[in-house]
Amino acid sequence: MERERWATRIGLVLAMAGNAVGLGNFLRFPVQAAENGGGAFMIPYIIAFVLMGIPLMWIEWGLGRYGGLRGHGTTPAIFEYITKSRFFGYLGVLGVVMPFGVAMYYMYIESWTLGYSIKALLNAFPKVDTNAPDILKPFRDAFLNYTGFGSEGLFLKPSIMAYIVFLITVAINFYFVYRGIAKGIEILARIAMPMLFILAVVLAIRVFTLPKVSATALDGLGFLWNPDFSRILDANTWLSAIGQIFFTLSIGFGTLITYASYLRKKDDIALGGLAAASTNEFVEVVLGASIAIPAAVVFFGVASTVEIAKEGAFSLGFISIPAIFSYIPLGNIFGFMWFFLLFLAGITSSVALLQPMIAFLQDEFGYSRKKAVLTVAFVMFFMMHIPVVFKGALDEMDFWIGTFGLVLLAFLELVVFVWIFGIDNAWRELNMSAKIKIPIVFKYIMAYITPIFLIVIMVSFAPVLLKKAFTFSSLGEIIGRTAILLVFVVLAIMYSRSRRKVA
Amino acid sequence: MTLEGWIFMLSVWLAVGTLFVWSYYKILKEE
Repeated sequence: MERERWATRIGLVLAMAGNAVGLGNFLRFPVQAAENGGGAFMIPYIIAFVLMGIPLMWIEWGLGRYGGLRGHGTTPAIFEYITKSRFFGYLGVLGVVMPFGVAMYYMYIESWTLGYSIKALLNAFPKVDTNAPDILKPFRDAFLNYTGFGSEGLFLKPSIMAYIVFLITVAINFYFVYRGIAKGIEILARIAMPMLFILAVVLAIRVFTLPKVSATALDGLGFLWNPDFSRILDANTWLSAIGQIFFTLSIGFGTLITYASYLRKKDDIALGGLAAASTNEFVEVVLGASIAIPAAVVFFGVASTVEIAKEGAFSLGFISIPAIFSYIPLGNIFGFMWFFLLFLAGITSSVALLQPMIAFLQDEFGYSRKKAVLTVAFVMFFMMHIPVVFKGALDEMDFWIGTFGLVLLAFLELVVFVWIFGIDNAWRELNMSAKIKIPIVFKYIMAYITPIFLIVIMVSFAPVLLKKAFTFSSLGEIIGRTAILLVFVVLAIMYSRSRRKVA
Repeated sequence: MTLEGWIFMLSVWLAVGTLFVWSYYKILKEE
């Protein structure tokens, strides 16, 4: 069966950039920077970007194009093809489990952004009472009621609106993947990415023209960028920066590999990868840093924003920002723009998360696209209710997949491509049809520096991992963890029965 | 915002912005 291909170069780059640009660019990054020394956070962040982010991104593009040209778009078969070992094929199953597992909860979070953008348009946010002792309380209550996070007991009880919008979000996602690579995902990226840029620029301009309430927007930038050099020797600052690079570039998710598997032999990966990564970074450090935190500082001041940042990205995005927008003139329009911007960032990432499982069924089992999408939709429909219903499941799944799993898969990719395939073969593969010359220093970074980085991170994770592995505090955690294990085992058994010869 | 803050922010923005504009210029020129 002829594999699908990207229709245009710019469409491919925008789809890859859309995969990387997600909710994390606007919510996770500013919170991480604010919590980890502001400007000083940017030093490990940039070092991790150059020594780990860029090399791993190129490795994933390289693995993807190499596999795609041989009819395989996911890590089980690509690993097996390169290593000639079935064992590595089973390890590669991680590269299908990870994106599927993340999609199980990511689409739920994404649906909140669509629901909140509808609420903003309908002017349905609570009104700000500046005399109240806790201005944010009604907004916090609204968020807890919407998501059901405030429910007592083992189960979450999301609002009816949250559930309906969730189903709509899932349907929109599957509509685009059903239409295929060029006619679905690429068209979505070509529309959503420019729109996302425009919305972000308009919102940033609005934030910087806000009148001073507790402080100015420049104070907000200062809060984010003034360096606290005492934090630079803190190991947690480095781990946070590295984690952010993984998350923001979508490294270790398996999605870049699958997208790159739809490249042609004559398509370059050196420049395309760099363009997608630089788009992501531009959106993150320029636009992402100029909206939520500066707006929060204008209204709540630096001290309160520190507390808001400590409560995490959801608190900033879904509690503080609605309060700000319900206070300013035309706030419902700006509120809509903010949440719709997050929705666009989310959907361009979630379609990428669905694609590896679809490609796995198509490539290794000969499913048609239609049959593969419907099968994934059917299974996903049941599985994705786990984080919606069980308290604690979302965090548990995010810990195993979204934190440790990313690093593990990235390490396996490096082992297969750089060590087993060989650095000379890998280097030749990366430079094949390249439109720019990759500096030779990256060959040595890939071979020596990046693996050291990854090993250090995995070792530093070990104590937390061991502790976590033997503790359960809720039914949701047990179910969340079991669900991931179940998906892995089922896919591994399926792979063992794959009729298609890999090598 | 302190002078160090400005220096940090503007250097990062300049580096990222240059990479972004240059890579798209190269791609669009090729197309």
